[in-house]
Amino acid sequence: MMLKKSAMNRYLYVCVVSALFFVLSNALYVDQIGKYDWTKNLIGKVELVAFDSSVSISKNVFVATDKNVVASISAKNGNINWRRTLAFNDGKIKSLNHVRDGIVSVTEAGVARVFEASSGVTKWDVNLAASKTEEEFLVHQVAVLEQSYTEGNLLVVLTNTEIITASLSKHHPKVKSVAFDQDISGAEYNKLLIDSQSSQILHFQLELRRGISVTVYDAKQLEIISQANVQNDWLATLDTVAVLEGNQLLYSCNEPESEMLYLVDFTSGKVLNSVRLELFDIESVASIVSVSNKDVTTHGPNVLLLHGQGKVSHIKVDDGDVKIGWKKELKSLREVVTKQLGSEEYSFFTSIDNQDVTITAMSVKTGLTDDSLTIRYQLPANTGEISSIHINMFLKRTTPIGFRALLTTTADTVLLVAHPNRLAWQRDESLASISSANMLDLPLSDGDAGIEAEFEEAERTSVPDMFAKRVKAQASQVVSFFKQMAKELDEGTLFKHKTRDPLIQVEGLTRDPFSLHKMIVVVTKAGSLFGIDSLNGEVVWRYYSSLLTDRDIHLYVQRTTAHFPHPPQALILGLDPQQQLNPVLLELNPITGEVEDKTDVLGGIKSPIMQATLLPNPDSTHLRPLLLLDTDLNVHLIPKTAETESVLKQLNLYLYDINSLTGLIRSFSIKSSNVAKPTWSVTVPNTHRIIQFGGKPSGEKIDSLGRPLADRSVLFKYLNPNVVAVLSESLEQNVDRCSLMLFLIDAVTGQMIHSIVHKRSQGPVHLVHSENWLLYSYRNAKLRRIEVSALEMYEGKTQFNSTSFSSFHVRPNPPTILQQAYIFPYGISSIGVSKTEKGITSRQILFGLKKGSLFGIPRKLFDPRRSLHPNEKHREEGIMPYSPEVPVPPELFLSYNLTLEQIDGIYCAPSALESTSLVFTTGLDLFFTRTQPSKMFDVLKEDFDHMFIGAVLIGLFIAALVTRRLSQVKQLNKSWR
Amino acid sequence: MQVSPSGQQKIGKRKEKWTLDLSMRRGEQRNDLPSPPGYLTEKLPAAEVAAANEGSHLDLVDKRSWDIALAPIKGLPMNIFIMYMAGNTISIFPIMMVGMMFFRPIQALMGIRATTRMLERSKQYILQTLVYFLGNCLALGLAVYKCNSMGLLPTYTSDWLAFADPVQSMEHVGGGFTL
Repeated sequence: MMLKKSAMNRYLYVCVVSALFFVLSNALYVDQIGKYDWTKNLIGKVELVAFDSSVSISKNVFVATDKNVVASISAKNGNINWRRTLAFNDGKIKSLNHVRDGIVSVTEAGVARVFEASSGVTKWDVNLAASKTEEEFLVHQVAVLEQSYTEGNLLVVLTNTEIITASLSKHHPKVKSVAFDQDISGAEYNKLLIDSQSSQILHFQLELRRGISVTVYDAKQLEIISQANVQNDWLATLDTVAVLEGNQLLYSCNEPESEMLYLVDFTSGKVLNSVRLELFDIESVASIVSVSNKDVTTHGPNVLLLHGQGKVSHIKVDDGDVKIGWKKELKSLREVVTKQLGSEEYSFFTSIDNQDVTITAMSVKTGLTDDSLTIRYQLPANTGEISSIHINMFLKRTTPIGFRALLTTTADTVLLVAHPNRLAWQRDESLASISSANMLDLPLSDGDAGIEAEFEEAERTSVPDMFAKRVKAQASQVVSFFKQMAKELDEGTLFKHKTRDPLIQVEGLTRDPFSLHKMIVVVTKAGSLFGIDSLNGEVVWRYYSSLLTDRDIHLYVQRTTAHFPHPPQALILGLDPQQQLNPVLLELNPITGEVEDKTDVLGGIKSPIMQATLLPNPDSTHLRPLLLLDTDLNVHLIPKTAETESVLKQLNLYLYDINSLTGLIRSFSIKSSNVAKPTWSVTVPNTHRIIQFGGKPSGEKIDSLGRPLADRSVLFKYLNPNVVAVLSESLEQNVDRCSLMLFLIDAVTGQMIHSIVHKRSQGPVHLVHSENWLLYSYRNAKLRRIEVSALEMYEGKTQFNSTSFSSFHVRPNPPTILQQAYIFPYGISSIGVSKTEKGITSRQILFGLKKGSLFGIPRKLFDPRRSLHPNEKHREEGIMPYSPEVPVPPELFLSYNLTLEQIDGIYCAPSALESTSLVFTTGLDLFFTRTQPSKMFDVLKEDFDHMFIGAVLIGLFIAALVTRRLSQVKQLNKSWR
Repeated sequence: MQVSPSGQQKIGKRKEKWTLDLSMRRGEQRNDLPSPPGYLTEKLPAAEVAAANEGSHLDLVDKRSWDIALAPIKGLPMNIFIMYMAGNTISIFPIMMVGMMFFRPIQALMGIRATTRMLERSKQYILQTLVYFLGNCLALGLAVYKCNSMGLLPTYTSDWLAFADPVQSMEHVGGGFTL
């Protein structure tokens, strides 16, 4: 009987939940895809590049990035052909090679993978580290030994303890290894080279004050063929050592009075020749450049010596003789690379003069070059400085070779440049690591702005003047309307959709009636700023300054576009994470991207800045002053005027400061613009460290002060705007002893409102704190699952003070805390919450899932009042019965079937439509969409048949007219009868 | 006054009918016909009528007036029964009934002047008016009670929640992790 009853209950529950989703489902139709959402796929900062190793021009470029992505990019237009994200616990990608078998990547932790070059499918992977731990195993260098097709290529990996080989062509690679006597990490330099002709592996090791030891292994058996030591106690770097054909080693000695070039046979260690550099008229050698290939069979007898400022000398070794060839001097030389392809051996000289990049190819043998072998390219503004150059050389029929250069910059931009100065494509990869984003309203159109301006000066002008102005403004609006219409008629676009989005039909960067079109201002970790058009994801403006590199950048929007004629204004604060360098302050117009340096305003700040916040109240120009607090507790206002100081004086401002290193939470009272006064401090136990905090968003719109219950009384929300949630994690990571601690602290008084300990739980924690509720996710270590905990605070059935809230009020009862936890079936990488203009629409919790999607679920499901044993009252209130699992119906995925990798931020902004919230997610993919948590109640559906309704109405009107006439005639006839 | 076969031209082919034309034509002399028997051209003096109906007639008026005055109160039990039968659920029929219940007494109270005129000739004119008024008020009260029991009256705090102003915060906070 019991069983039957529970089955019945379950059935009922399923019905209720499915009915709920049926009501709430907001799924997309196929034709709506891409109508108001867009994605931008990114790869991250390019670190490793592999071009197609075949002799002809490469169609694709293969890259590995800091986001552990291996991708193939079309060399033609820069589009991603395929992209694979590797797990972060495999370690960073250490090497990327393109060979016959595909793309070979090896990570630091020793995971080797082979991807099909055309599709990105993983052919096979192997963990070379086998059972070794991270400390024991670290990949140093990787090479691929190319052998005949029947033998298959061999992957050679140099780690800190051994040399490992794995044959690439087999699906079950045979892994062999030979261990060293000792850990080679102690050596200053290690170099792995291969000899594909004789199937040998060469290992060069440089130890200070001992010299170079060269060990040659047989690649098949991994046996030592020869081992030799080249004694030279002065050699400090392998830069001045080159390996030449015929097992020869050329190195230079830069010791004063004995500048020499030595030629040594590295199998025996015998010195073959030595030449004084004086003979070649060379003072001291900075480096010796040989072919950059790992395969020594491609190394010929030629090398280049770099010496002095951009001086290059060609040296040829001929049968034990060291001869000098040509000599050149290049201005502002940055890098020299030598490449060999077939019989051609060319050196590429890159000179960088400010933003001008010149790459010259020179035949190594002759030292000749011509115009067809030179790329002169000027880097576009705001893309940073060149950080690395990757040359792709290919054979051509007419000229012997051609080449392209893949440039990466400090702003993480990737550019492919071809001869003579053509930019094939450019990718802004700094967008893959966004640290913060802001969605701003666009400015009003000129006509609307005229009317706005009228209100601005309303106090100063008389009524008739204002009337005249109004007439004038509206007349100009009418004129511009007709002008626009005439223009559209001319172009024949009057009835056409201007954008794909049916709700946004305003062109250009002006505000649309629903305010759905925004400017997204993003700050990236690379130090660049972007203005992105929310309609299509295009970059409207970009800014990069070397001032901001390697700094923590904070963006504060002081004034939005709502206050015409004052332009919008934002401040960018760049702080040095080490607190060594002085802070940088820039003023930005977030719509146009104009930047002005305002660092001199910070002149008075001597100590590091500890906290920065925007004041909640603006001054008379609608500018919210920025308040900075330094470690000496001095308060600084930007801008500092008498007015902003009086704004500050009128506020009761408190600043809290959470130090995650010391676990100390302090609060300061700021009464005047001089000095902050410490009020209270709390320290988390020293077994814990603070990992996350959540204050309430300032200026949050709260529609309802309480919740009506089934008996029609009100459960009032505890709407304390000063509550801060602080989460700390135990330093102990053991499953049975780890714990999470949550404190709810009143930031004004320091009163501990609530605290809770989750035993056997760990981070990472993601949290949202809004109105009277808090939602956070954590990992239950014991049960190995992700849990989401929902917490709500209520004042009770009576409101203590219905007009004002002060933390200093003495309340008779502490707030009632309700809390429930739920099991979440997926890993969570980020949590956000929808935001609407008035806050009437119910909220939607947005989860960025590790599996690569954005999932939006009504907050109703995380209601801590969901009861295990629901009764009539719960049903009347619409509270669902408690069930521990969070359902994940596929129609609630905002990202439908897209894959959004590594979502690390979810930003929401309200639109002028109460039903609609705009959502922007950052991560490896940028995704923008909008969500209607309570469905779209204020706009007619897209499939609403305007034509049909209009036709019916007109038809009815005509029918009414006709029947009226008919009835009149009939009436008249009747009266005559 | 003439009976004539006129209108022959206007009606045309229609069948000839007789008409009675009460208007007089120009130049026609008024015929002084004698009044029918029992028809008096002069009004009787009011005193004579009152005198004639004295006694039993006055009682009749009183009774009739009381009927009018007590009608709303007499309707109450019926109303209570209908309300009970309608139940407290909010659907179209109970709402219509409640609407009628409001509508009728309000209509009666609006037209109270006309009703008092009807009661004017009763001796207990003031009492009857008062009873009529109270009866309608009772009916109205009953309707309000019904509304209340149906939950249509904003008598709970939750009904006024949407109109509550947001609470002003006296302090402002800011901050976060050490920059």
